Amino acid sequence: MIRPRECPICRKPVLPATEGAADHFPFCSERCRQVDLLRWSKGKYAIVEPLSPDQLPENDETQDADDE
Amino acid sequence: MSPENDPTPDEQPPAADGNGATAGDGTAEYGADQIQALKGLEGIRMRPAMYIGGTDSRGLHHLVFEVVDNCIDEFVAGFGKMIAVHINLDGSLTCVDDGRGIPVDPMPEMDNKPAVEVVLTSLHAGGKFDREGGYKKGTGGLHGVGIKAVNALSEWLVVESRREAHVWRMEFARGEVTSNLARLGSTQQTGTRMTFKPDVKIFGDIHFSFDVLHRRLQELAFLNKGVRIRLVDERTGQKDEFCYQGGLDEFVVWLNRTETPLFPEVIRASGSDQGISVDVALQYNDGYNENVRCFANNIPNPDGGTHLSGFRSGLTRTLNTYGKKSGLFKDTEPSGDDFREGLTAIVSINVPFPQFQSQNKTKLLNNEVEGIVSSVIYEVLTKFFEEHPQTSKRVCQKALTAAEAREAARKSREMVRRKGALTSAGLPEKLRDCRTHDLASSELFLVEGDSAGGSADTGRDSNTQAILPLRGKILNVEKAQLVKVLDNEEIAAIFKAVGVAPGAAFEDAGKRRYGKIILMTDADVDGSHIRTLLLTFMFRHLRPLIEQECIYIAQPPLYRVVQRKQTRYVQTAEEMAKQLVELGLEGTSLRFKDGTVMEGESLRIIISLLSEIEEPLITLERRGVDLRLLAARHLTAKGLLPKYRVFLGRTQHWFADRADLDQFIAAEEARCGHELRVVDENPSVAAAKTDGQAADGAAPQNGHESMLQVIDLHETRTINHVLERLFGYGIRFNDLLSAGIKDGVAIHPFVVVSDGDQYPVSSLRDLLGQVRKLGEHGLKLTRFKGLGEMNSDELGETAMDPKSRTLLRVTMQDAVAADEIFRVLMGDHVEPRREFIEKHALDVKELDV
Repeated sequence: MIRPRECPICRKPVLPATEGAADHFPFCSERCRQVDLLRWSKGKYAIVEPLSPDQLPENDETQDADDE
Repeated sequence: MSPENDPTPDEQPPAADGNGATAGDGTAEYGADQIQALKGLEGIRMRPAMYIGGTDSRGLHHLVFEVVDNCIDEFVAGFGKMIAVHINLDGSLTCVDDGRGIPVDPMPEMDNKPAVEVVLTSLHAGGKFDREGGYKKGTGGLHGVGIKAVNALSEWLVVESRREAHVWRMEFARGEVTSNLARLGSTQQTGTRMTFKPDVKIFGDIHFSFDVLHRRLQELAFLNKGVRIRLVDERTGQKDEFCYQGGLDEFVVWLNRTETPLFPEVIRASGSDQGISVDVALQYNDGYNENVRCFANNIPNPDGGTHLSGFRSGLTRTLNTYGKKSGLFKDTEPSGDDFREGLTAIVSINVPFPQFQSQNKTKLLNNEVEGIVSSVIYEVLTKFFEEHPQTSKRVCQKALTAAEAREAARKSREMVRRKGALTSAGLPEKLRDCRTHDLASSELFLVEGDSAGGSADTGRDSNTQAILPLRGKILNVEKAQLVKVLDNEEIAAIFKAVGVAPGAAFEDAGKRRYGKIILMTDADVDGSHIRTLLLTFMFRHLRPLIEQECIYIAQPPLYRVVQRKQTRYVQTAEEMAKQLVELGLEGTSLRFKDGTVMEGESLRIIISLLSEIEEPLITLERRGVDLRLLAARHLTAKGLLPKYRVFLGRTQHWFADRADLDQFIAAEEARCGHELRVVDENPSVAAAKTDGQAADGAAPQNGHESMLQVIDLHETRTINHVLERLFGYGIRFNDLLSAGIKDGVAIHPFVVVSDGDQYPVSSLRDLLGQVRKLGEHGLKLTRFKGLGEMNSDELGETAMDPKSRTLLRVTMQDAVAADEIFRVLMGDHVEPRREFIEKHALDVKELDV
């Protein structure tokens, strides 16, 4: 169930991948693939999780009161 | 060089000297008799390329353009509105305009020849040399050469001039008059009609192309707004007509017709200085090509020239200044090329005295033009960009993307040049390789963190298992956010260790250095984020590995449980909680105050219902709902929670359903005689409001009017559903709340009995915790904060040893899902991320799985 996608870089629509094909999937072009690789290697990609007050470190107790 | 020194045989008449040619014998006389002065238009026929650029198809069509350019000059000067071009059946071509008509009166200084004859036969004769006549704005016609070239290179040419109430006609063949000027008859019209057939002796092929003419005539119609140009091909019946009131704007829109423009409007910049007028229209599309067309006095200059360089420098200067001033170019400064990706533009200038590189005018040379065009562009565009910040930002961002792509392409080329640098030249320093590289048994573990890498190193089977520790960084940055990064070193290490290059083909996956590539990250949220990052990265740049299903996820445990000297491991917090409840329920019963006792299956169901209700209860409390107050005063007749909380002015009301709420509102409206005013939209007010506080929105007219605020308590849906089931066990909402303190002693209406021991409980909400605590009896429970907390034997046994571990195989769907989660959680795109989380507020927890 691979849905139609957007190129991660330019957000143009990208055709679904055909297994084994030498396409640019999930990018629209070689150009965008190169840009993405550059961003990875520059450490530009990160997952950002906002820390709500009760999720700050040392507050795992909500999940594991059973710790001790 | 003197003739004596250069007596090449070619230059000598063959029979001039029987003695043969030797240096200095004087036979190759170089005298006046050898100097030719070509008469009339002979020179053009001898060296046509100098006049029309060549005798190929381009030169052939240039003849037409010379004729049409004259008609356009007439239109620009304010005479005539339409031009018609017919390709005739015999291969000749007719061009008609409704300008003033070529003058026909005799010219005393030219032996009384009629002006029209002079115009068509005498080189450097024409009406466009000074700018005092009709052609003030500058013309394409310049040298007094073009039309003579047409005449000279035509097998025949007929010209008709309509002026001063008469039609005059004259005929030529290869530039020579064949029929003198004659009056044909009378007319009310003015204009010129010229028909000519190119000389097949000059042009090998004299076939006019409809498409070539079409392109240029349409271009002229764009450049000269309002002129009507018709093209008819009598050979095929094909015809077209152009007339554009939008001028250059329409030209740009037409050029971008197959592209997606970045913004709807076409930007115009025009101005003039020193008699040179500049008119530019431009727009960006989402493509990468530059399409800039330059014209000087309507003549296309495919090789550009000073107007093009002026345009480019003006545009670059404007955008650079804007981008720096608005802080968009902090990290990267785009180059001129970057500002021209996806640029479509027309640069059209009028110069009184244009200088071109050659008679076919492919390049403009006037030096003064560059500075003038550049400063007009800078002035007008700077103003435009300041007034249209949205558009400016898009253009600047486009340039930044272009700069990034340029850098990416350069890096990529470097990588290809040092081919193999990534995949074969040496292994990453941190890799602990294994001995075998048999794809059937070898495995590479990508392990989160150096210390876990150390444990894995000791716990592995060094024959078949290799370890690459990755230092996924977890940082606290501004706004207290956690960030996880893979850097260049790590990326390169992955490619090197795996032995497959970025963007490799499907077959290349077979050349990988290990059979299985196993991601091993902590069993917590951070670990799942690092796994998402790795999977996304592999999905994007090592897709063949995923397609061939050789990526796996290790399942390290989250808990170590020691029970009666037996050690086992539990993978998730949910599973652990479930196990503790099960253990706690063994031999346990719950005694109510009235003596009722619950045990076995009933107790199990009660516990599971209680755990289902816990989270919505916490949410309700967080939203400022006092559960005690509800229990005491606002339960429905059936003992359920109300669905709506309503503030009206300083009073608070609770309603069980929509009907009650509507009834209340209707009653209030009837009481005050008008519609109730609803509190202004501000979600944070609703959350922060406490009982009895009035809304502090904009004061209504009388200052005393009560504001209405309705808060939908969605959580109560789940709670009520569960409550209804709990009723079946005689449990009421009150039983969930702590019974409080009486005479300084806490009241415990419930007692948990287990193995003869009694544990008093003050509310059923505490029951779950109590049962889990019972479950922990006799257990030694350790929760691993990370892989590093396990000793190497443990890690080896639970997550690595093929005999005892569980691995999850990553499918394409898993990778796609990781990529989607990544896009949502990625720092770069904060906006869509917030939207996503708002939309899926209830599912946010699932994202971390």
